[in-house]
Amino acid sequence: MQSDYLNNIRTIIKKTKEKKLKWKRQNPTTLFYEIVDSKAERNIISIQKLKEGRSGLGQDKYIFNAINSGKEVVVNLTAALDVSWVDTLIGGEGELYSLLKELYNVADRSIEREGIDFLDDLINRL
Amino acid sequence: MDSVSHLSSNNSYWSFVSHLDFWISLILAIVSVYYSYRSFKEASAAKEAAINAATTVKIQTITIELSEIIQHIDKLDPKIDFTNARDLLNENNRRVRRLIAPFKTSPEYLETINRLAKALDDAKMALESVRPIGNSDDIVNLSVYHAVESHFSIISETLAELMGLFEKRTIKI
Repeated sequence: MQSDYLNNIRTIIKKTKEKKLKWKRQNPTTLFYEIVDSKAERNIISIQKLKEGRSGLGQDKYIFNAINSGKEVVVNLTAALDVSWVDTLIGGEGELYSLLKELYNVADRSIEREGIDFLDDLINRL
Repeated sequence: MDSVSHLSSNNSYWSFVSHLDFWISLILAIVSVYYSYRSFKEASAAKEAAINAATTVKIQTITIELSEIIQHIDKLDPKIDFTNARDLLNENNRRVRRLIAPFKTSPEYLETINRLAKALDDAKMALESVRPIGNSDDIVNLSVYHAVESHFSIISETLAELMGLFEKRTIKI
């Protein structure tokens, strides 16, 4: 079951890299992609990055949600870096954590890229 | 001539000291000083007891308010949006800081109060991380809850600890 989800996330990462998914930012730490179907119903996938621990100095935690048109959370995947700093140094992150981290970074960059492209376009039209 | 006047003043001194009135008035003066001192001591003790009683009542009132805040915070709705979370945090932040302000200099509460203040600051920072951009606040409707839930939980635990310390003081008195 877990591996099915991991494959789904790999696919989402791939499609994001191919610029097939247009991610949006809800707030500084939550990104979402909205799929509006033929019945105008909105289905959403989202990825949120949180800081665990005190004063924002803790470790990152990622939450992936798939939300249906009725605003129900159908899929909820949470991954925190629950290993010691030594494990982190030798690459001991869990696979789900690594994938969610990659998804967040890829989606974040795609939003930034879109902003830069938009600004470039505006500047070119000046 | 000198020796005659010295002799006469010596005589008047002895006649005064040997007089019963002198001793009665001296004893009365000593007794009144003693009772004045005792009254002063009792008044001081009564004042201290009154201050302690007032402090106890004040602490009990604060404890009741803190328990109300804990109940308020613990009922965090998973579907809470940014505006409501901000209002909830601001309201309770103000109340908590007002209540703990008089105890900031008390060594027995200092560590807990510092942790509480830090937890409130952390919650504020976490809330800032989910401040909505544009009009998309309600799309991922659990994002605010995810961001603040653990911080609210720390605030609630620390408040409970502080209440315990207050109750300990009340029991001592």
